[in-house]
Amino acid sequence: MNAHLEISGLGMRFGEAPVVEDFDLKLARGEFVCLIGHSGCGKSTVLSIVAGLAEATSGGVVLDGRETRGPGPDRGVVFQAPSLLPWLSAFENVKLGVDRVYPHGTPQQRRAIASHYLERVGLGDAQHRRPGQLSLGECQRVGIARAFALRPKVLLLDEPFGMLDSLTRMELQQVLLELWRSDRKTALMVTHDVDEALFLADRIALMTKGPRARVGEIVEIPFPRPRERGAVLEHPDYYRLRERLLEFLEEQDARLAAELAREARALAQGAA
Amino acid sequence: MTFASPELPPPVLALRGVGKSYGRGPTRLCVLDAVDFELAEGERVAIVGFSGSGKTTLLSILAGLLAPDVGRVELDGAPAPPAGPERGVVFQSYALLPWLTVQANVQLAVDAVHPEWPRAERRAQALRWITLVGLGAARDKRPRELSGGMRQRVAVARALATEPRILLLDEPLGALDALTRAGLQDEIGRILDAERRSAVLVTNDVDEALLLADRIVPLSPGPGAQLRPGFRVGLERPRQRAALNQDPQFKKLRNEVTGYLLELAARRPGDATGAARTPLPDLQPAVLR
Repeated sequence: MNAHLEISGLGMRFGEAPVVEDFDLKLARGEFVCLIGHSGCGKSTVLSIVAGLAEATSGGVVLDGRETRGPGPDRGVVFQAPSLLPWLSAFENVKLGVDRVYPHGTPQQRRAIASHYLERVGLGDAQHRRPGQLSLGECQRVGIARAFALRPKVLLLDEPFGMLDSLTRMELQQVLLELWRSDRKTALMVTHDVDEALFLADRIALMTKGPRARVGEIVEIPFPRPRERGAVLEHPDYYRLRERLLEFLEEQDARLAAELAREARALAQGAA
Repeated sequence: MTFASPELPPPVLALRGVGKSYGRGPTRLCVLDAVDFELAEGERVAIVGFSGSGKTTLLSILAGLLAPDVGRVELDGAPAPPAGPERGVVFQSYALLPWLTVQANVQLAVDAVHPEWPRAERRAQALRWITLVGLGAARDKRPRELSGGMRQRVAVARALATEPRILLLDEPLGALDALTRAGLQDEIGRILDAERRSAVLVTNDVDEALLLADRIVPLSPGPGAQLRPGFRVGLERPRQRAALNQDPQFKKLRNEVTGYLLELAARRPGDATGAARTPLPDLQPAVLR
């Protein structure tokens, strides 16, 4: 595969603790990959490194044939918590990034880009509201609009819907998928929601739990595109794949529980 | 809506044509409109709806904490008094007293409902429920020393310790992460199975509803929300999360309920996506750095 985004031999230590080790993942151009694993396994660490917000202890990231260094507008990030400036309107929040990325455009063009993407996420009429006047779901829509408006080469999504209720989450998955489909971005999304990963991804990378977390297994998702939720849920492979993902997570759980129990025993013996 | 035949006992809890609005004049917002609802003895109903559709208002009215503008609440077929110990409520925000220990928080409720019991008995009752939700070892801790999941367990123990006939749960697990949530769902399921209490669970999680309820009733998106015809959940108990995933009936119901909710959502005003009035200028990002 001719990779658009290539993460190879990535390792991250915090002090003595090897959180991530030998993490390899390649994404083709325009591919949507979900990274799933449990809280604390190091998923977000990997994403932060790709975003350039953290520096890997070993290994590296190559985007479009070039090694990445530091953060840059070629990688658009959407975080779990809305990262909007509270004193600016939705429109101004998006335009702040647009102004930086399109300095050569006319003011009119830059305004049009911000408005265009806000309309695409369904906020055409709410552009002039501030984050405080928007629901959490609407704030995340602004975040998605901003990420797409900057036309990055790759989209990095760190549990963007993790704080939303499950119904709002489904709506936003649809919004994201529609934008992704027309703009054809390479996307890497961290999530622990199995249904979300199944609905969005071309492939799902299952991450083993830390320490020394890495990609344990990759599952291909065969559902035809464009995807429609009803049809995806009715697909004969849906529940088989869902079960496999849940099983993987449960295995990791059991391993974690056993380890915690071992630690607790060791502590108790130490205390005695 | 089916009407009970005369020989059947009246529903434990019912709403008849309940409506509720907030504010007045041009800013008046109608939250619930002509809502009818019946909860049978021993039945567990999940009310599923979007944020802002009026779920909490509905539950507060069922609990007797909020009076409807029109219509009425019935308890055993008679007009319901304001909130009383026959209805135990668990809120999403836990609502614990921060200066009291776990034991004291739970016992406060027991003391209020059974002032005539000897002190030792009230203590034992509180402790029994604290142990049942797995917090025996943390009984002398204060809320701030506990995780979100543990605090919610205290709230569940407090609601159950007074042994209410009806348990009302308002998105009790909404603020918890997926893993903690799953653990507590299983626990609430076990307690409800063992106790056979009537319960109303408000949630936005279809899987949670399928795991815990006998009937799932969608609330249409507000303003003017109404309860829609429900889905009967005939899955056998006890329900095991892992086994359910392979149950054809579970899959079918899950798809039906999800599909129905998405259909309701699609009809929600002002949420159209995809169409952009402003054309995108032909401009590529500058290569920075």
